[in-house]
Amino acid sequence: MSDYARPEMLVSTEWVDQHKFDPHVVIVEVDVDTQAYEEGHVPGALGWNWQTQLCDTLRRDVISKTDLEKLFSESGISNDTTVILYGDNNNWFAAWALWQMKMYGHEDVRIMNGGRKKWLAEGRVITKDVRQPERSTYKASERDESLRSYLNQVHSAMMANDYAMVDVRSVDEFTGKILSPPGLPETCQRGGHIPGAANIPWVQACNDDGTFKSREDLEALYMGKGISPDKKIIAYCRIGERSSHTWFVLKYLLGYPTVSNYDGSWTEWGNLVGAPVEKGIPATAKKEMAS
Amino acid sequence: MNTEQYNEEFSELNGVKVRTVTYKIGNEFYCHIYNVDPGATVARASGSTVETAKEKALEKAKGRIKQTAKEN
Repeated sequence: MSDYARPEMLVSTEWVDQHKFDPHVVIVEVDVDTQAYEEGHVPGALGWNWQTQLCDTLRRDVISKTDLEKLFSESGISNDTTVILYGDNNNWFAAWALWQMKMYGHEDVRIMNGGRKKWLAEGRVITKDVRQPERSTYKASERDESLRSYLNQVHSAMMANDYAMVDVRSVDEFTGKILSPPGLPETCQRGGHIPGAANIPWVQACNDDGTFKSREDLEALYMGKGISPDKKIIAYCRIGERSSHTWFVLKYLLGYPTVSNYDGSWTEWGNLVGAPVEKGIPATAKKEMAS
Repeated sequence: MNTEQYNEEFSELNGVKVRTVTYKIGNEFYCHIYNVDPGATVARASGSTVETAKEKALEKAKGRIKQTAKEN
């Protein structure tokens, strides 16, 4: 992990095993499958539900500053706490939580490399016990909006040479063959992608065991498709969770200076009246594939 | 308590590539079925044997995959 631009942003399963009862460390599991935590989890870990605790449950938005302060205080997190996030699906929603924590200025938050999958596959100790943390007082910073892109910014970026957009959904979602990932009910009115976006499915950043690929492999993956650090990068997917995974890779593992997550993503763009949509594989990408 | 008998296998369900993960925690077996691309959970189930957990999860997964929206 030492080759990454910010190696301290990742911890190994072994590190977590050694620090799971460290009083300065709070471990939190955030899963796509919100019932997975109840099956068993890292001893001492708390569980956050992305559908109810990491978003605004009334309007579509990220968690508010007030709600985040309440959640963190109830979780026993102080401003100087080391927070370790992990989850299923190679840390999809752990990355989503980290993205929001960084927007609200939490300094020391890291991801357990390999996530829940690696912990279980290694046969490490798990528990069904739910820890009752001692309440703390948490004060969040004002939201750093530079880590996020909104619809109007994405629309402007589409025409700008100094921007590059990366669509991290599957090839079938990108080309418009399907309107939602197989087996998931949510859909959109139009399939396809934002014109000019490169398609680099998020999972290509991971090894089979759920850990992140090496810096060298990641650089080859993103640079090979024009996602380079000299550009302002906008990552998007369907609802912004897969793209927060890619946002994490580009910002912290590769050290790109300007990366934002368009969390409106395809469920916004693909439902928007009059939004330009491109279908299939762009001609430039076809040429790359042929060569 | 540890996870035991962790196993992953790949197969195809109604034309969609899926990854099936099974493991045992305590006396219960769990089965999770993910679509390979993008990797999201399609179905999960538990049971007293690995076979019953898999069977229940597969049944749910088949129904959900059939409903995948495609553009007309």
